[in-house]
Amino acid sequence: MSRPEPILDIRDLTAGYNAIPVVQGISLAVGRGEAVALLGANGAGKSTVLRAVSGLIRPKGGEVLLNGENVAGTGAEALVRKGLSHVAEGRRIFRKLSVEDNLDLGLASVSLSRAEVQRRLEEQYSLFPILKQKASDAAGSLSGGQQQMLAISQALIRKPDVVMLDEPSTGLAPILIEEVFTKLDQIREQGVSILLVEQVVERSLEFVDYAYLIQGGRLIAQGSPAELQKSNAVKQAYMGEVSIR
Amino acid sequence: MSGSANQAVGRAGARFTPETVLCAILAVGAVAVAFVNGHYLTLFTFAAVYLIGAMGLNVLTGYMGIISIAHGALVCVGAYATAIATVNYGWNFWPAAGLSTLVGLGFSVLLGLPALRLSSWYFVLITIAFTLVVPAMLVEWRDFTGGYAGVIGIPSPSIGPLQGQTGFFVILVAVAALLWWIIANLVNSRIGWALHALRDGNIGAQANGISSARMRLFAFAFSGACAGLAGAFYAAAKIVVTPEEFSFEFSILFLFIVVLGGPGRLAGPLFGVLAFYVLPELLTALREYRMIVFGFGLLAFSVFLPAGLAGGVDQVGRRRSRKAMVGAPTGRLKHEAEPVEGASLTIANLRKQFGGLKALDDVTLNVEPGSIHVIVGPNGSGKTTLLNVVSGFYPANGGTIKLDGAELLGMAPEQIAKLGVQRTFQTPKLLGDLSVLENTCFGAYTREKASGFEIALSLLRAVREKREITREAHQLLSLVGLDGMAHLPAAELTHGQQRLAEIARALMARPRLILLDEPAAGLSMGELDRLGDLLKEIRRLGMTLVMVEHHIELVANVADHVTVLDQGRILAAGTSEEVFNDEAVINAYMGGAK
Amino acid sequence: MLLEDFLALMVNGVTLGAVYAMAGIGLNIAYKPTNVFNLAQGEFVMLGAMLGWLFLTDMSMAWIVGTIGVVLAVGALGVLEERVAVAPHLKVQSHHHGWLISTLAFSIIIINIADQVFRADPRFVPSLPGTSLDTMFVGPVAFNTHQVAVLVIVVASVFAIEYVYRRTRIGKAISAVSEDRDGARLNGINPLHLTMISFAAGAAYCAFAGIIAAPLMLASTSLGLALLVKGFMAIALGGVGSNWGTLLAGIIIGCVESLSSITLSTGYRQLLLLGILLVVLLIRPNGLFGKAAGRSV
Repeated sequence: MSRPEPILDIRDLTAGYNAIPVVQGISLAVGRGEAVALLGANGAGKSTVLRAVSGLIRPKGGEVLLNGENVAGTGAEALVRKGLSHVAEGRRIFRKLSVEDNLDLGLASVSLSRAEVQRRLEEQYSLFPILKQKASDAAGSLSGGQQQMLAISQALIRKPDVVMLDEPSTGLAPILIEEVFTKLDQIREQGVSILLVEQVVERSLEFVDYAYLIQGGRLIAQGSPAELQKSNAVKQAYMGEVSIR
Repeated sequence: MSGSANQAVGRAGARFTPETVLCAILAVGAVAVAFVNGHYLTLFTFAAVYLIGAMGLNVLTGYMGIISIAHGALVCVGAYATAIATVNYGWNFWPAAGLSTLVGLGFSVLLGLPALRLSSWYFVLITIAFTLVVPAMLVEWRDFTGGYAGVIGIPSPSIGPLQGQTGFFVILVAVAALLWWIIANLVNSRIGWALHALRDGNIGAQANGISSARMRLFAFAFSGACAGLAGAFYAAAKIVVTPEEFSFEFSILFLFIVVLGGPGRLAGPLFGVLAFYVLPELLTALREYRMIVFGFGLLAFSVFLPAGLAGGVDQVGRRRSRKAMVGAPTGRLKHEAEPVEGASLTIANLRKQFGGLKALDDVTLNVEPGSIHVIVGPNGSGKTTLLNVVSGFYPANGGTIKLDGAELLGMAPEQIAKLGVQRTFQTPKLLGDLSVLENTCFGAYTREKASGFEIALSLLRAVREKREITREAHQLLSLVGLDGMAHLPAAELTHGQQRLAEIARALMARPRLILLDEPAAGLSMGELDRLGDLLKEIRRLGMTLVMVEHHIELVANVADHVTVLDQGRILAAGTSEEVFNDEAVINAYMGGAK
Repeated sequence: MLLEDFLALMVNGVTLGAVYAMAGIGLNIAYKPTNVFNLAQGEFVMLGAMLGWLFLTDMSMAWIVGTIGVVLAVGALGVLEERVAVAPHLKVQSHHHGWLISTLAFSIIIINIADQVFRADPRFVPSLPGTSLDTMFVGPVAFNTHQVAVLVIVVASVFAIEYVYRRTRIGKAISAVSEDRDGARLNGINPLHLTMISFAAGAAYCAFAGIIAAPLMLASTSLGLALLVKGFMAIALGGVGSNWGTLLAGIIIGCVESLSSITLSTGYRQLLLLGILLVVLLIRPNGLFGKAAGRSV
């Protein structure tokens, strides 16, 4: 099965903090309309990859091609305008602002007519009805699942080409995790490409078209979910060498 | 090997860096010139007074990182205390100087009180306000202070044969040298390290049992005392004191001297006084624009050379020739360490909520004394939150946490540390520019017995204790396999090595309970094996160990008991075999989410 | 004390306090996206007053033209300060308050250059157009129309500022930056722009405060430090970041100062205010009206 032409193409990315590289020579691609997972144990460097790609930190080497343009080293605030959204780890919403203000700030990078802003808000409210109920509440008062929905909605409202999600299921109950994935399905149907970093490996593999596995800051395996599930690599990367049973 | 290292530490205050060499040359030169020429004698007399004041401010601003504008105003208060006591009440100089020291200390502490709780920028503005009030009050209290006319005829100090202006200068040099020695003793001890840790906003400081309020109080008191003493000498050197001399510029000069000279460096104030007091006095033409030039200098230094002149000299002269030797891990303590009686930890119905988010939901668990208890669970399941609540970094919303039956909830982290609870962090919180050995010794903070006074004067008990602690630190470093790197700055270690060094630091406190947050993350294969042995060694010593860990192999290898957290609740508990064969656990962990 | 005297002192105190509050609000504006407490803020008030004298009195410009000129000039200086003294410190994540030193340095440079240029004499700046400094009476209350205008302007400006923070996108973006810089960046908000805008706005606001305050207190180069301290007291008592709290606290400080002038001379008044500040900060660290927020570690 061939993959679609890449919309986000990361080549030989090296990144880290201060002098110490956390990820070294990672290459991965997200095809147009594809959902791709980046998996790996804690501390493997997944979040660092996302932070370097989205421009929160400056990559130390390699290329990041977004729609064919090398954007490595471009700041996060500028990359948002080019159609790349990054939903960071840990529900990074503005807790003191209201839900609606949070969504409004999701549009900070685009200038739209008042009517269009309203239309987009309604669009998000129909995708996440709970947010409409809570529109004027402070975002910090929402429950964990609702905060996660808000964070995703804030990224979607500006209609990005690619969304990178960093552990959206973190700390959520299974039923809520299922809800997150249902939403992600709907988002994919709208044609948004997705790069997903996740801990819930099996559920993620069910969802994505393709997956990469990193360990110790390096790529150790990639393939379709079926291929990865067959190999023992995933289990090893997450659980260590020990056999459980 | 450890013998020679001990000596190295013993000499730590007197290492021959380019900074200290240049300093010695400059100081000797200044003294020599002062003896030859009367004009220079006066100049360097005042330079020595400024140096004494600035060394005090260096403790507060340089080592502790709290900026004060009022140092000159405190010198002023000290000067008036001596002036009034000697001239109006006929005191001898020395008791008057003692009074000045106390007055400076008192005012400094008074101004600092709000800053014990608040961010230190409040202190800056309080000190500005104080600096504006002092000269105004000197004029108001004219019956006492002589108003604009000031106080006239302040006597100079003398000791035995040290008489007259030269004698005064010799006394000043001796006092400055003594103060230098005291500060050197302090900064190379747990007190200096604690100041350093607090200045860097190091969360590890609290986990190590340091009370930020106490250290701040100490810094305010010490710097205020130095200011008061400097004031006494200033008054004597001036013979006449009037309110006009103590302008805003006078006050801020001390800050210039410390910040530009090299904050948090022993030699900083000396460089500062020479460059920013002596030099401008010599170049009289510059004086009118001095403040403008200083302003630009301060701005440029704060951006480009925060380490000041002393730091600049040090950087230029330093040749980095250190080589790291990775010692073979012994996995055993060479000498039999005293066993520690581990404490039991009983957590019941613990709840912690962040806004609408339940991070810990009715957690109950029991940790047997002297056992290894591992907490596992997927990301965001509340493991680190649990450690943070137990060590006092987060308040809980309900429940109890008992250490050997004593309630920990509601206590500050430093209080909990003093009860014998040590912890490490996911991102190691070592002091990057201190050596690995110093960082390790720092772990003994809560159990060191020598008082600040004994440390300052390098009294026998302090020296002996330091030697003993250094010896133990070397042992612990060889236990974790880092002895070869003992003298490297901690920042030069890899993350994995830093994590091991942090464990060594925690062990230095001989804790009854030790909490480790993902010690295996980022370790190499070899280091992992060593970590396993190390954990078992900790258990053998009798300490209770609670650890959050992802690495299943390691957990299976060492854990006596495993608790699985998921979404803030306990999913399973038991031995590692029981837990890892539990279907629910495998699902939660591997993300079945069904 | 006669009722008339008391009321006259109160009017004076309220107006004076409104000016202190403006200095404090200027600090708040610059503080919000940066968490930087700009120690040069008082000097912007001073520059507003001195340039006001230069443009309006010395060069006899039309009030509105001269005022716009002053506000733009000082606003530009605010941007310059942000670039050279603040931005370099915001780039490095550290707990060292390097900006305390650099903004202090910036203020020292301004004071001393201003001293060289304007010398120490106090200067006269005309009152707001359409108002005068002549005393008039309504019943027992003595006041002048300039004072009334100052009060109206201060209250209106707080309304306007709060509107911007609550209702406009740029205001919300500033709140977002103050909460989570990286989070704001991921929404396409450039924190550096907002920092610059806030410094410019804070400086311009303070310059304007200087122009309208100068007729009441005479412009001199020593004004800056005193106003920095009073502005700080206003936000320390009113709660950092709370503009209404700052306004109220500023007015209280002004009234205390004004009323105490009956019995206390200048030095004692300053001492009294310092004492009040220390006591309040010890008892209520978050200010008189501040919520008990968790202390920062």
